[in-house]
This record gives sequence, structure tokens and C-alpha cells, in this order.
Amino acid sequence: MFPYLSLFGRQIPMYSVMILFGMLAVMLYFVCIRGRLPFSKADGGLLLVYSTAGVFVGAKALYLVTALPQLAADFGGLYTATGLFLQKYLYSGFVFYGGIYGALAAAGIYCRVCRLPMDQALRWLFPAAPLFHAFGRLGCFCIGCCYGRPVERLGVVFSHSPIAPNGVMLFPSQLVEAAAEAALFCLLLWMALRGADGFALLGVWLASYGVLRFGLEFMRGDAYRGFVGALSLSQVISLVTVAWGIWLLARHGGRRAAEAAATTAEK
Amino acid sequence: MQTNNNIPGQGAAVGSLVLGIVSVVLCFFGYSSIIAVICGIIGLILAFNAQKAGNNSGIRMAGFVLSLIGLIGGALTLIACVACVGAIGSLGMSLT
Repeated sequence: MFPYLSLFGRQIPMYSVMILFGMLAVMLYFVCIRGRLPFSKADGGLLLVYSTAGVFVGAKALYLVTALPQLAADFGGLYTATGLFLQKYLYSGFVFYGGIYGALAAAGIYCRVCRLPMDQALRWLFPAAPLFHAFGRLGCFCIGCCYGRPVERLGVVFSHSPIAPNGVMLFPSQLVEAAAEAALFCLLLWMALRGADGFALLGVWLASYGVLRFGLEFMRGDAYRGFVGALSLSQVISLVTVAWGIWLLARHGGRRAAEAAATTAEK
Repeated sequence: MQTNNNIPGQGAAVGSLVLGIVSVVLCFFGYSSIIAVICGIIGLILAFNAQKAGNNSGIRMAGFVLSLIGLIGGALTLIACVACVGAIGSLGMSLT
């Protein structure tokens, strides 16, 4: 829609600008909640930094897994066309689900090693994920990636996109996902403020986002995604994500019921 | 006279400052941005480790700020590259 911003004679990709806004929004969120964290500032900071590293490593690792057959075929290019090979496999291609799972794994390991309460870390830090992702999807909308299928009404028409087909009415899949992520951020924050368990928050997001993404993939029109049979790779991961979310919610519900029963028995 | 050995976490603080400077310098150049991101992350880890050890010196704070700027700048440059390369990829870039 608006792929580049002209500033002082330089073309700045709007995707980067939206990511910068997302980072600023996340920092503002952390400034607002820092007094509520049940561990030291240094531990909170380290948890964030390791999670950020987990995002990069997880997103790249999952991309490489999905591109494994082509990576194997192109591997000779590492010596003959090193620059192009690195452009293709190192500097491009990050998978969102990989980033989320990478961050969760890194945070889980850090909490276990430093004996920090993972449920409290999730309760206060996890709402930042949908907040940041909402801005990321707005960036996708600006540049035109992750575009939707052609529709006859209720769509958007790109005119200067370097990726999406211009002049065709397309389903605004990026805007729908951004709005849903913003709503999920509000829901998770509300749950955190009401004292919900961190794993319940995670379960709600996993189940909700998984269902949303599974449905939205049917409305996507970009062809350069991985496919496993009739389903896209994201849909397969969404199924696993929804199952994990439901399991977390069921376990949380069972634990609360057991606690309620124990309290009643004590009385 | 107080030496560096007596200040807790001073080694980590100095390491954070060095990596912060490296990441800020590298974050402005397209393909070195990935090194800026790595240096920024390690610099921040060192800065927080120094804080955990009880170091609240100006060196640690400078290392923290520079590493953060380098990480954010590197991530933005890297993502800008990703967007450009993504556009090339959609046009059919191939190694074969």
C-alpha cells in the first residue's frame, strides 16, 4: 500500500518503520508493567534478551527446515555464488511460528536454569508477543507481502506493491490478522491484570491464534509459502498449536478444580 | 587504589561496552547487520549480568545503551534487507 517512506531523500521500507513502532510499543508496555514483575530488573532484562535471541534462532531454524529440499539442491551455490546463497538463506525467510516457539523455549530454559517462576514470566511478558505481531502485520500490509486472495468486494487494491499483484482487489488478510492480534493483546492484558495464570494466557493465545491462522490461510493468495499436501505449512503448525493450547487450558482448568476441591475439603 | 578486579561485574561491563560499540558501527551496513544483532544481544546479556553482579557503573550503562541501539538498528536493517530480498524472491530469484 505504502511500501516506502521518503525521509531526507532516502527510501525507508515501511515494514521497518512499523517494526520500529512495534518495538517502541513493546518497550512502553514493559515500562508500564516493570513494577509488577516478581523478579529483579536484571532477570527480567535477561529473560527478554534471551527470548529475543530465541525469536531470531527459532524463526530462521523453522524456515530452513521448510526450505530443506531446496537448500540441499542449492547447497553447491554456497561456494559458487556465496552472496546470492546467503541472501536467499541467511538474510531472507523467517517463520513467525518458529519465532514464537524459539522465544518460549529460550524463556523456559532461562527460567529453569535461574529458578524463576515461568507462569509469572508468561503472565506479564507474553502479551507483548501479539502486540508486536500486530505492528508486524501492518508492516506486511504496507509492503504488500502475505497478501490475500482476489475478492470481488470488501478488499484492498495495491498500486505500488513490489510483491502483491497491483490493480487487483485482494482480501486484506494482513489487516484482519493485525486487528485480531491487537484484540488478543487486550484480552491477555485483561487476564493478566485479573490475576490469571501465565500458562492459561499462553493457552488462550495458542488456541485463538491457531484457529485464526488456520482459517486465514484459506484466504491467503501468496504462492511462496510451504505446503504439506492440501494444507499450508502454517496450517499444519496451527493444528499442533491449537492442540497444545487446548491441552494447556484443560490442564489449567483441572488444576483450578483440584485447588477449589482442596479448599472446600479444608473448610 | 581501587582496581577493576575489586569492582563486581566490571569485566562483563567492559565487554558489553566493546560489543555495543561494534554493534552500533556494524548496524549501518546492510549485510553486516546480522553481526550487529548478534553483538547487540551478547552485549545486552553482559550488561544485565554485570547489573546482576551489583555493577552500576557508567561503563555498564553505556554498554547497555549502545548494545540496545545496535540491536534495534541491526534488526531494522536486517528486516529491511529481508523485505528487499523477499521482493526479489517473489520475482523468481534462483541459484540454479
